[in-house]
Amino acid sequence: MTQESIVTTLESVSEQVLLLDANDLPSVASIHTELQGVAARLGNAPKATSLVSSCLGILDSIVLREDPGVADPISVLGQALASLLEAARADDWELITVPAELAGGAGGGTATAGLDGILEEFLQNQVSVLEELEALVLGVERGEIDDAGPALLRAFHTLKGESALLGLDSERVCHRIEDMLEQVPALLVAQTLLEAIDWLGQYFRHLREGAPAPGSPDALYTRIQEQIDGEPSDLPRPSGQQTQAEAAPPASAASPAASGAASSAPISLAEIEPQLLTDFVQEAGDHLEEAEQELLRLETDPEDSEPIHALFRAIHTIKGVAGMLRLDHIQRLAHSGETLMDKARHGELLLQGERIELVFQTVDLLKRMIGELMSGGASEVSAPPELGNLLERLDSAVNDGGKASASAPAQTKSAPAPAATPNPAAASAASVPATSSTADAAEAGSSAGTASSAASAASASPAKASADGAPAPETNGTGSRPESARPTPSVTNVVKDFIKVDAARLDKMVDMIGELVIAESMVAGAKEMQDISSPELSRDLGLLNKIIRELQEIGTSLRMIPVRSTFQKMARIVRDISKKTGKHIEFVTVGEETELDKSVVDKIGDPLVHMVRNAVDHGIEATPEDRRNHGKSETGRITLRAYHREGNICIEVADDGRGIDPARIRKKAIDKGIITPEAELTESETFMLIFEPGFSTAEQVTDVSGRGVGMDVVRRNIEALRGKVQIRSVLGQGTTFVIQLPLTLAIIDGMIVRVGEDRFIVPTANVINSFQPTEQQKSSVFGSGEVVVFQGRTLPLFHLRHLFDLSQSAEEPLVLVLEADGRKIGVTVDELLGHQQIVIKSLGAALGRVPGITGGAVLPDGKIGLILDIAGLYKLTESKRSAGAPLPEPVAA
Amino acid sequence: MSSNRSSAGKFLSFTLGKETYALEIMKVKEITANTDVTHVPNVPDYFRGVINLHGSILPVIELRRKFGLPFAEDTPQTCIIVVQHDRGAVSHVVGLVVDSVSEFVDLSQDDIEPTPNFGSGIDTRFIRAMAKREGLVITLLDVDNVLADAEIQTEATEAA
Repeated sequence: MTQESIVTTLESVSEQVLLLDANDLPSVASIHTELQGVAARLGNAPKATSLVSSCLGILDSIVLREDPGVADPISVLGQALASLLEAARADDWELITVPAELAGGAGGGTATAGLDGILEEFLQNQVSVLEELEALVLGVERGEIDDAGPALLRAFHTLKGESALLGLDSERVCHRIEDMLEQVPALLVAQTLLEAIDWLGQYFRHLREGAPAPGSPDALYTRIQEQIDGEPSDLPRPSGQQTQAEAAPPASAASPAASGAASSAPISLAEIEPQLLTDFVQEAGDHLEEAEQELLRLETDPEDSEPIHALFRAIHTIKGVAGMLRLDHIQRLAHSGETLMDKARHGELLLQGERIELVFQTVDLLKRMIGELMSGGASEVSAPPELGNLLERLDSAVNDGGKASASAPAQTKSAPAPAATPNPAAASAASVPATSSTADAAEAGSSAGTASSAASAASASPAKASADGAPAPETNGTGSRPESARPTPSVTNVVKDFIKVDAARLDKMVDMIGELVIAESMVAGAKEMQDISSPELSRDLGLLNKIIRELQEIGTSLRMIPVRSTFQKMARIVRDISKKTGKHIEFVTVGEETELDKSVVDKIGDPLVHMVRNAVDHGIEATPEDRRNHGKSETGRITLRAYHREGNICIEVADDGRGIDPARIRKKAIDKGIITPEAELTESETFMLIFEPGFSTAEQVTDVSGRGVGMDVVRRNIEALRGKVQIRSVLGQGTTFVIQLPLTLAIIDGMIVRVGEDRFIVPTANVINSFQPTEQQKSSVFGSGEVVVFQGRTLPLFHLRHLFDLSQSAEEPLVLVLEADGRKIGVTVDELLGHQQIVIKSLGAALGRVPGITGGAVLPDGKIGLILDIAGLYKLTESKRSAGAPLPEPVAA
Repeated sequence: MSSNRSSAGKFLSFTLGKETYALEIMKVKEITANTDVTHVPNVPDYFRGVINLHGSILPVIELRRKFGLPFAEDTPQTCIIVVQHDRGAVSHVVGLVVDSVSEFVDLSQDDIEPTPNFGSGIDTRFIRAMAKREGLVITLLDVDNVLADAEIQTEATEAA
């Protein structure tokens, strides 16, 4: 076959690829066939052959609906083919440039020159792949797994294929292993397999981090050949030491880097492996949070040894990892703190008063330094000015506390890990031995105790066990309720397995599930389906529906995390403010395990801080005497409670303080011009006035709260989360703020409305009512500004077709009463089409923010419906008004 | 764009009225039928709206309007070229409504001429180069500039 025919074929294939729709399988298949023809005709042209086979691989995966491993397979195909074509025309295969996605920048220099996209992802995955492989081999060796052959074969085969796609040497190694596995049972070749896995691990690290390249695989090939030929050499390895020595390197990407660092200049590990740093920051954050909580417990009962142990472990873990990452200041501070706690742990001093304050400060400073680490992106922080002073005070506290010898980290080694509390610290401490070869690691490992079995699972960075999910001691109450603050010793010791997943990937999946739900309802609702009267089919459809619903539930739950950590922060805030204001406050949390969408949990913190501060500062009476005079106990109580209600999550901030006096609120609101003296408001409407901008009832402005900003921000933040806030209050008995939040931000309840030929989605949360107004209810101002009377109140009335310049003239017989930001408006529509769960999507980066629209959603018929942004509609009415049309102003609710 | 920096390569040509334009093939993600477009209010008029592309929402720009060409009814040949363009770290995907997609053309350096000076009447930022092929004049578009311009105007609308 001639070069010419290749060129012709390639030309035709390139054009087909451009018009290719991944759903059009016959076309994909025909391209595949033609390319196979090309491959057969290529002859001796390794570069071209490899590229063509990469293309074939992508096509395969398109047909099989697998992940082709590249972001945009069709355009990559196009690029590869364009390059092939060019080379074919010039009759010089050396001209081929492999698209970056297929070679990870290999087009230029070495593969390490530009790690991008696919190669990087591949390499990252291999850490856990190799780890799994290793576990499999070890399992086989221990006789725990019987028939691992097929699984191993499959794994190596996949690895081989991927390596070939990327043009990596690992292809040949995997190929040989495959040969071996086909002929010899895995049990007999475990040692060789482990050696091969080690070699692969080293090789991948070499590509990823520039670690030393592994030696030539020739020795390995020889071993493999020996195995195939049946020469004995592999005996089951009895030596535990050997196992450990071999298990360590592949278990963690960091260890060869560590040895590399040790042999050359003292480079911080963090410089080599930014992932480690990120993990450290995250985990340290968890530990510190935990430490803080334990401190609060300790404060109520300084004799209790449980919190001290937990505290010690948390700080100790931070110290160990900081040391490994050469974060010297952090390590020193953690070390001093640890020394103090070590004394307390051994009963040589009591952590109370000044000393516990010191530990609080230590935790705070650690938090800050670690926080800087993240924001600065640096691998080391400069010592904050107060570090020296704090260290001195810690040291003197240690020396005052007893005549004990100088700090004794060595002691910690033999310290028995308290068995009563299964502790997150243990789980992540267990990850230390795998990521470090220092003595520190062994030390931390010993404290990990029970969690050691989880060590290997916990160590791989992509599949790192997340500490926050480990069963933590159950603490329903913090503050001055020691009885409830005791951990439940019966909490199981099981350390769950966790996988850290890129949040974007998770979102994508949740998105796709949303699509699936819609696609399914499109199929099930199709007219043609109604005509089919096959019981099997309808049963199968029912099954499909059930599976999809379950999938949807799981998908939603993936993003859910408990509100615990947010609640813990509040405990700290209550403590600090009550110290500052001199009030005695007992802080109780209920329902910390209630789960919320992560994005909601992240955003609810700020409003909660405001409300909790408010409760301490304004809610609870100024002095204990005040409280006594009202027949209450001197200690005020603030309760933070989370629970489910009607498909929503409610968070309550309740105090048993003064309560809100509606008369005072009203007077103040009139003084501030927020309402007119004539306004008739119900009690709950009156309470809502405190959310108005510029409203503050504090007698005096304190630095805790009461600057007149705050509560309006609270409401805005909560409404931004599509939540609502309500107030219940009884004068003299207390006040409760109830925040009602949706479970997730990605899905809303929407009402689909029709205006002319356009359909819009109104978030049900914003809809107060809908009604058909009589002529008497409608009126206008200055001839054009329309109003409508609803429940005795006059609301401005808007027409979507004016606001959105819709061309169709419409009847618009219905009025929707909508509320946001505490304001109500009427909006006219033609028809209500129905209620539906809506998956919110952005309109695309190119459009940016569209006034009055929050996003879009795919409706059951496959078309896009736009979701109204009610608060944005107000702004739109304002801008339209300034553009000339006189429109009435929305009224305060 | 005075130089025709490495303009040679593969292009997808399409028509708007009687004029022929072309886009670099690397920018083209796919070509899709002119499906139901949902109108989006209060955005520049060259945004025809949004469509559902494999479950994602895709904004669609009507190139005729963007370039100030007279309005024309859609025909069965009207289709949407989905292009990807990177702006900073963000990758934007946009659909372009064109009258018809013509063919794939390979342009060599010899086919390409620098953009002539049109005077003030024509925005040459959108033009990468001109090409002549088989007696046909093809305008090679600078997609990045066209889209960046479109988006800047959206942002301006937003700010207003």
